[in-house]
Amino acid sequence: MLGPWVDLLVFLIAGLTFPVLNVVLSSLLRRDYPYPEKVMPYESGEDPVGDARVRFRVSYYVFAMLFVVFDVETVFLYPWAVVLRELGLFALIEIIVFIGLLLVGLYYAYKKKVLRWV
Amino acid sequence: MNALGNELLVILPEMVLVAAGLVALVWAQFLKERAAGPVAGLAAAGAALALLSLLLVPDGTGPVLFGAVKADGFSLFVRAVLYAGALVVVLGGAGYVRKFQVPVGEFYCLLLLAIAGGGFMAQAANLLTFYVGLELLSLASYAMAGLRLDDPDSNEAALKYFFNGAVSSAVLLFGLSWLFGLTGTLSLAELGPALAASGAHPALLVMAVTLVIGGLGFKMAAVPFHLWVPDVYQGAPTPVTAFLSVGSKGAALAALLRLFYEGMGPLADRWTVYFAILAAVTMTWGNVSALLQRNIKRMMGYSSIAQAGYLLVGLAAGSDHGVWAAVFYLLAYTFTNLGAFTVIMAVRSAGGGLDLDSFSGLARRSPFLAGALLVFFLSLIGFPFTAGFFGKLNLIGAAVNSGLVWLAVLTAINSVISVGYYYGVVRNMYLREPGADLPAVSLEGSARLATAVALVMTLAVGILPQFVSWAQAASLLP
Amino acid sequence: MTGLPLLSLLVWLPLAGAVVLMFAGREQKSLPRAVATVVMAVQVVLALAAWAGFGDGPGFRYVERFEWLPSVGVTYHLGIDGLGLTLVALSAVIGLIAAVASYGIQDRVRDFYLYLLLLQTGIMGVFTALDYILFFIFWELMLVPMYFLIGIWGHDRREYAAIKFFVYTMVGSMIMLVSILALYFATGAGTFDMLAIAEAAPALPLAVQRLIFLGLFAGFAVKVPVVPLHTWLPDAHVEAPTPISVILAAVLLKAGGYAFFRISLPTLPEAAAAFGYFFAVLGIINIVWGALVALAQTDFKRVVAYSSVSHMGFVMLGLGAAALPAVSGAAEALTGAAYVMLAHGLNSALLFLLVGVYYDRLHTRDLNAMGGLFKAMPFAGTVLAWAIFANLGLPGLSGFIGEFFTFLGAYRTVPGLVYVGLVGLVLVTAFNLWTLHRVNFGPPNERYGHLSDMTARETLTLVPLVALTTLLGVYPGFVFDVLNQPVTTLLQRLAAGF
Repeated sequence: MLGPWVDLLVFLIAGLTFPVLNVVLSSLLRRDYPYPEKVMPYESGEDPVGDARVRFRVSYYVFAMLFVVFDVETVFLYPWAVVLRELGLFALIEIIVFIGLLLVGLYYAYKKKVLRWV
Repeated sequence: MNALGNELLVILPEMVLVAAGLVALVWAQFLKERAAGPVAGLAAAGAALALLSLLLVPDGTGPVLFGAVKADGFSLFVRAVLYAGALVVVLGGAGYVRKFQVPVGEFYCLLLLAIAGGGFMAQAANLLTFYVGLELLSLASYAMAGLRLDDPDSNEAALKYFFNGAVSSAVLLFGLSWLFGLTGTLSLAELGPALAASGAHPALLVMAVTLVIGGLGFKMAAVPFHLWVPDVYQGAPTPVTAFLSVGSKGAALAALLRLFYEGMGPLADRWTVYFAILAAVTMTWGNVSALLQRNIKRMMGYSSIAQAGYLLVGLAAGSDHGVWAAVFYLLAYTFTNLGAFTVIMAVRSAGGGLDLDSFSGLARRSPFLAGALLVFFLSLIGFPFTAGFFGKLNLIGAAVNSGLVWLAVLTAINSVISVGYYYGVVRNMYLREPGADLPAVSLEGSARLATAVALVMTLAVGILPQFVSWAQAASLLP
Repeated sequence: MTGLPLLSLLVWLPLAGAVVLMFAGREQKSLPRAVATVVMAVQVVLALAAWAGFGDGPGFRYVERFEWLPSVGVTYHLGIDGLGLTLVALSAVIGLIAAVASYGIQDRVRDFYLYLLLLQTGIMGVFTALDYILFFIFWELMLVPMYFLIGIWGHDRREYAAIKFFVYTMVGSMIMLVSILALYFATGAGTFDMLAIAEAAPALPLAVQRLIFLGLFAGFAVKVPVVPLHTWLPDAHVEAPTPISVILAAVLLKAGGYAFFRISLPTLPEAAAAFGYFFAVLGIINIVWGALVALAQTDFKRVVAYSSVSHMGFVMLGLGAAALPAVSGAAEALTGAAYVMLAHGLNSALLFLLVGVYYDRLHTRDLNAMGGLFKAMPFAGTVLAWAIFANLGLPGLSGFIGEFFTFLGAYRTVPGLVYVGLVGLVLVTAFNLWTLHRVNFGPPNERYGHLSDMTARETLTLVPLVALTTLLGVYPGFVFDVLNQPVTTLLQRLAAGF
């Protein structure tokens, strides 16, 4: 009766059970021996210094945002490239429009000098 | 390819708007300090061209472009109103933009993009187009609200608007996903039959409807989703406020009409009651709160809440008559309200403040502006010989026709309440002497044109409403 | 009948004048006066022409009918019957007199005349419109110019008075608008034409008729004004400048009575019969209350204002008595009510002008500060006596005829109320005579010995009114001739409803 929804339900249950089960099992099985270095936050092997809530340069955010835009663009371009032959000319024009719009944005950012790291 | 070309014609006006917006954005970077005039001209030309290119749109086209959009009478009419409104905003706001150094390229680009988003909402044939249009409109609006970078009020407005807006968008999207879950379709045309056939539990439908109304009620500034309005209206640059008061509202109204009357028409008796209550609360709350304001932008904010209440009466009627009345009222309201804002901007740009005392003796300082504002206020009240009269007449008539006599009476009484605050401004303009420190207000060319257009439309629609009778083709019969 | 669209000219000529003034210089004084006077004079000529060519027989004259909004059934439909004719003539005459009486205004002259002309368009429109939407538009159009006329050129409490007038009327008219729409949809006639709706409306269920009747009543009763809704009137009349008080009392109040006559009674006769007694009681309350309050006033202008409340009671009484099922007397009651409207229009104009005459010299309206003025101003005193006698209903002057016929007709249906009304009449006489006494008589007042009598312009505005008042008193036949036809038509409609 529920058709495809059953799959979703199974997926949900499985997805929840797996991590929870692992954490619970390991906490039951392992020895508990905490010391200061061990409970410290993990930062790629570096010693954490200071508070995480510090002020960054605003340029970081702008760069991050620009990166996200082009990241998403890449995500679009991969599947598009795969099926390009089937979609034909129209898809090509569409993707050019899409990239064009993004380029205008990039150009605007360039003119606004946000790409320059001072 | 030719068939596709025809289909693309349907969204030609939006393409024009987006192109003009992007060009404006880049061009302004080249012109730098000299940008205000030429870019405003470009934006005006873009809006005008979009308006004209509506003529090329093949009328009565069913869902095209993979079922995304639809060019029926309704969408053409609403888009015409929106684009004409954008034109008036550009013309009327140019002086303000220059005077208060609003970033030129950004402002016009965002304005045109936002209005294109509104256009997509009006012509949406499925829930996705509709939501994407809404997001385009919303994101651009958030940014626009904060465009006076050095003004803390403007920053506050942008932040408040953004946070509230993000939540409401999420709520709306959640509601849309409920609808999709109940029916398995995104197409508006299939929504109604699918809902009727699904036999879903009424409680589920109530949930979906409530969430959607919550999300769109925010855009329309309906009570109780209106809390952002006064601060944002007051803080945002005045041209942006003008745009929000008609553009966002109009697009949200179009979306509500499409979604409910077109999409869920067969279930009308299940949702009209929500809109009746929403309309009643909205107009009353808006009008009563407006009575207390001393700042004209806040006052106009509450006034626009009340106007949203009037617009919702058309939905509450849940009939063809109601839809037509709401859309007609949108036309009247758009020109009237934009005209009023143009005058307010002129007073502000001349160095006046925004409190009601800044309007003292305006009738002596600049009789044309005072007279124009008087006409606009009379139209907002719903006085004869102005567009607002036939707008209200239609709405009240639609309510009576649908048996909602109490709502009709309440609408009428609200018109009287609204006299209370418009009166304060009119009294200051006509009955009070101008203070010595208040400047004479003159209109520059483009603002003069905007005021004249708004004035002519307000009076023309008020005296000869049949000249927009083609809007009656804006029926939304499924 | 003639090729000339007489009514359209009457309605739109003032508007054309206003548009001309819009382009006149803001500091102009003589040009606006001249334009307004010429327009108003032409209106009098037009009204006289309408009267001359009126003829006998039933139905509306000078009808003009065009489609305006065919999709919803709104028409541009003008026409007058005998009642409309008398009120149009009254409005034209009062308009001319008000224009001349306004020569004394010195501040923002152009704007003043602009609003005055706009107001005149609204007034003429109300008395000639035969379409509900058109009627409503003109009804509201009277409101805005009047607001400014009181609010800008009024006395000390002008802002309060202006907005009070505006809000009272607006509340009433909004409820009226809903009722009109209810009438439109309930009858399903698909038209806002008054005559077509009047044909269809009596078929409605009585409960619906009553509701609609009450809704319309709210709009009209504020204008009349009926006694608990009357409190805007003394404020507005007192604070308005003299010529505007004249128009308010003489013409605007009549719009309410006229609307009952034209809309409520013929369209919803059954409901009217149900509320007839209610109307008559309200009328009596108006007569007695107005007179009592007038007795208590010390402000000359307030006395005259409350006198209006009292007189409009006769109109309500006549309408109520006629609406009730009766063996006879309905015709007399209706004719009396219509006649009172006309006579009071002239009397109250006369009295307000006189208040203005005294105020311009004394700079006070306090009756206690007056007295003994006859010696200094014999001519004004004589005219005042004349006006007061007309106002209290002395036979031979205009006030008598209408009040007499109203009581005569009402006695057949509501005799008990008429007795109460007679007591009210005594009170009316009392406050009128006392006012006359307080102004004119008593020992000659030293302070006012130097006052000059009326100027030529003031005389010019008063004499026609005195003449008309007398004419209406001694030769009412020429008015009866034109009133006979609408009264008969209305009675037939009412009788059909029983």
